[in-house]
Amino acid sequence: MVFSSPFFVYIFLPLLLLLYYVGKNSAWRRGILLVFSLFFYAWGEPVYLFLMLFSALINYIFGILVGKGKTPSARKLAVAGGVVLNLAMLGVFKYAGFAVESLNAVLGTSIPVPAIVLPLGISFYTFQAMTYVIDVYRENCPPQKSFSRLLLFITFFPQLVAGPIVRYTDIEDQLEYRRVSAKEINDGLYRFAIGMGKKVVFANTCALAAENLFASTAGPTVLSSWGGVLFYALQVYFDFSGYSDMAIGLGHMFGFTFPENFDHPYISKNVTEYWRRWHMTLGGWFRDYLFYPVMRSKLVTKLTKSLKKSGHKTAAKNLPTIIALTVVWFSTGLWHGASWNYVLWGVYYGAWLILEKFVLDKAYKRLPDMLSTIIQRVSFVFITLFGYAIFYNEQNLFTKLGHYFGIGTTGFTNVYSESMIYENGLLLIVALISCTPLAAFIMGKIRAKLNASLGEEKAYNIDRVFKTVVVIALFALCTVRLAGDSYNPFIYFKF
Amino acid sequence: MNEIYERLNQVFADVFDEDITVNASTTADDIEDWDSLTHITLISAIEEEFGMKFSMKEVVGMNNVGELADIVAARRKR
Repeated sequence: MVFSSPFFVYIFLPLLLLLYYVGKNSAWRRGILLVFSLFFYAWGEPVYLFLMLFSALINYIFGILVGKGKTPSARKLAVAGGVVLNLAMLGVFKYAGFAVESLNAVLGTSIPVPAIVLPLGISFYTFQAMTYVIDVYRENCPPQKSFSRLLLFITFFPQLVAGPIVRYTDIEDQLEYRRVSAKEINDGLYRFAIGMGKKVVFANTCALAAENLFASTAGPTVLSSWGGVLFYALQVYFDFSGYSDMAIGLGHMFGFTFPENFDHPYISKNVTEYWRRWHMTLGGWFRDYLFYPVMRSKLVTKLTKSLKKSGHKTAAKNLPTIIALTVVWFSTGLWHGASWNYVLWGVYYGAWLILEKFVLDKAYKRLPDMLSTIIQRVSFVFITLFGYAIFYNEQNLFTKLGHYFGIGTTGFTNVYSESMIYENGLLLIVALISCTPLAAFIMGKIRAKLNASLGEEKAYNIDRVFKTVVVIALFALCTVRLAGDSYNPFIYFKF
Repeated sequence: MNEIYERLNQVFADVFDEDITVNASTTADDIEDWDSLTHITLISAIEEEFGMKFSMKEVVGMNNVGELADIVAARRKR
């Protein structure tokens, strides 16, 4: 089921809110959320519902085993078992086909490729479930004794299929106790409406512009390639951050606080900053559950020591980070999809991050501030767009990448590419401005002014009225657009 | 405790390639290059200096150099 669909907005959600709030006690509310979450998943994936239930059961058992482990090695064994089983599930259902295909290509064999349809949201809920087992092992939380509570954590519908990646420790307490009032519901609705607006108004229209440019009947040009990928970059941002907004908003409506996932990533100065602002919960996941463990692994520690002994001080300091970053970004790429272009995309970003950390940052410091800022900002735009070019092209990657440099194109530009850009010029400008914190900044200023002149209470009421108007307007607009529009998939459902 | 800070200063200087004097309230915000990547390099260097191993919870949970020094001091008493 898709959030930005009339069925979800006008039937599923109101019914859920009604049933949730008629009962006062926590068990009733948890039960309602659980039933609706399972229904939400089963709507599109009735068979794979059982896979998700199985995943929850496994993680429940291993959480208890880790907690019960008397010796450090018993605990380690239990956590390793849990992690391996989670990865095995992901491996079979997401990567088996890809692995066999790659094997066939390398060895020239013709092992039949298993035709497994990717279970919806498996990358997200598996990663969420793993935080639970690992955090029990790290003593960040006690094991959850109630299966239904853990099941709700893993299957909770707002963030189930496309993030944010919520850790168990993020909502551990909220599974017990949640603060809900009219304010939470209002704020949640507002956030949800903003997300839906991002999705329906911007993402879907940018998607059309990108497709038109990429599918240019007059043949690809350099302009249609860069122009197309620019609209694609905007589409992905509005699509994915819109989804996160909707998820966070939905969480709010039921008294849950989810972690933020985006912080205006496109205003970043460089790749390092970008990855602190883009899909923050995934970056945090890889940092805490892969980067740190690799850095602290016996292998890397040994390597560091032997390098130090042999007098390679700089290498001893930097090599572990480079190794760990390579592992992390190879995995990040692979996490996005079972295809080599995603792996290449991940390694591409890993390479830029390593380069920035060990070479470019130091070089930029030697330049005058102004110059270094200009170089960084301009190169960031091209690095990001080219990254998307790798990300977008699962097929014929290298032919397509050639187009960006005029290889295999019909020229730099043609009438079709230009008219497409002109036609979408207004959309481009408005979308670009909407990527910045400008609107939030202006609203903050106005709010401060109102606070000063009218007092907090009146200002709050005006804010309330304003937000309600925005919510109604966006719901109406989105409903109209969705009724006439057939294009509405969320990109991150693929992963 | 003073001796711990002296040795910490040395480790910080090694890791960040500049003369740094830390005190109990120094945080990652005070040192430009101290990001989440360098944090772990720093932790490993401190572990080696004092010959001890921190738990992952301690690694992620330290809020300032003071907390770090407290952990080191507590570990040495045991």
